[in-house]
Amino acid sequence: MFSKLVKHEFRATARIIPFVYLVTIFLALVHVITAKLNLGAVSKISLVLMVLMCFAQVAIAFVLVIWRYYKNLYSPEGYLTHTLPVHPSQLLWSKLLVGFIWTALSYLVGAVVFVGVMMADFFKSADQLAEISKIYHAFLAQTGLDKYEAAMWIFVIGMMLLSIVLLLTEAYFAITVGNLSKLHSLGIGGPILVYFAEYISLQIVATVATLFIPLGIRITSSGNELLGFKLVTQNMFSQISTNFNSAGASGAGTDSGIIGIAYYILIPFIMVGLLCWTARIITRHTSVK
Amino acid sequence: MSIIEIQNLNKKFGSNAVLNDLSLNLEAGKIIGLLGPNGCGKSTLLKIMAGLTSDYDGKVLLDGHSPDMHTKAISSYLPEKTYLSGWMRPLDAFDIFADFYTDFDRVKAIEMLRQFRLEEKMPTKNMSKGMQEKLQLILVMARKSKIYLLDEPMGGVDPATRSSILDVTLKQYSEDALMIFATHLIADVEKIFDSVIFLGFGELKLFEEVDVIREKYGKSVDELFREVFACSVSL
Repeated sequence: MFSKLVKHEFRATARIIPFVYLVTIFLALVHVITAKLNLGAVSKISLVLMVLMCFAQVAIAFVLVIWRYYKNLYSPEGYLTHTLPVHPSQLLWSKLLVGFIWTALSYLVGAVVFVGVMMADFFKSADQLAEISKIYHAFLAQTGLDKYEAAMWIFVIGMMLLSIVLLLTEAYFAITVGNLSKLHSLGIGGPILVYFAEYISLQIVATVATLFIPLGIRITSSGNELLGFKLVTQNMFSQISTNFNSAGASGAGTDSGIIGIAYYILIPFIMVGLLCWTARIITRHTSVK
Repeated sequence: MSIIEIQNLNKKFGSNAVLNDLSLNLEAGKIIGLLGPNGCGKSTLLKIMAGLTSDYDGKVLLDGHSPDMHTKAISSYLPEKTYLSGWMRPLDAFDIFADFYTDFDRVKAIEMLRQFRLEEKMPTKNMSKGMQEKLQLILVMARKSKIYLLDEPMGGVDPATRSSILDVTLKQYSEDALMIFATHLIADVEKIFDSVIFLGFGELKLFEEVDVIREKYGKSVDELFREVFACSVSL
């Protein structure tokens, strides 16, 4: 049944999102062609619009996925969705999976189109590409990241994907709680209020975890040059207060600092907690208006 | 044996009690009219049985189960609202029902679609309210369910269409199933009821066979309903 839910979720969402990608690709093609034909103004305008669309398509996909969740579960459409013979939590998982795929695909399409246009526009020779590669590797060497290049990319891409799931999770949680029968009288204001409360709570958790949990990365530098990164079991707050006191005493700055990273470790746990809570509410406290 | 058992069911919206300590046992093989004034809890009761409202107190069992995947698989619910997305065409809705309900008969659905003169590929956003209601009735009645829960199936249609809806409903209804039919249009429908439930603001006012009502009170269901709810005659 889960695969059927996913199939119908794709069917419903695929009516709009791919057309947004087509607009981005169309603008990219217009730009490349008009650039070759030396139509300066059209080429520049289409480039600006294409770059805007690369960002906008992620936002559009995200909004559509969230709107679909609300509409399909808590508007009159919910009368069909909630009477399907599936476990209520499967409704959540199927929507999360499809929402994640569309949002991630929007990032990917945007990145591919953007890089493709850059390659066509600016990197017209192997020398230019080599120059870019040289700058990139010099940056890695300077920051000490050259030893961890693969790990760095895995971390960056992993965090991007995780952030998509976290955003979807936060929105789904807010919509689900905002549609409990006790909040029905607030209408669409219910989910919005819940989202703000959830956002503020998570910001407090993030601040406390970042400042006070003793897990961070020490960054050392000399002047404008970065010397390296090191994982340390110290908290950021004590480092800040130490730096503040020593700076006050000597009037001089410091060449090292700690960035707390505990919140990033907590994100998967927060996410799983919110998802389980959402699934539980859908299962036990559903109340379609 | 009862296919639906309800014991001490309570449901409140804020401080307003919509269902108040309601108990009912309903047997298969009957068409039961669920009647009552606006806001008396008919739709809420059907929504609870359909699994759309899970925050209630008391016991509700369909085929021995609290509303869950099993009860949703054996019950066919028609809400008073139109629940299909505007882009959806009848064929898309049939695909969903065929995928999720093993008892959905696609051939029967297409046959009923033709009977109601609805187009297979017309998006629901282009349909009138009456057409949408017919389509939803087709989806519900093309299933061979143990329980049918119909909430105002004729609310927005003209008198001629009401007759054809009633015909289709009776034709597709299998005699070993239970059908609960909530409506305000009692005079139009009472001829198909075996029994009626009068629900008065969350409380059970009457649960009686239609033949008994005619014998005991010497009145039609419609006349008795008007008497009970307009003049507050105690039974």
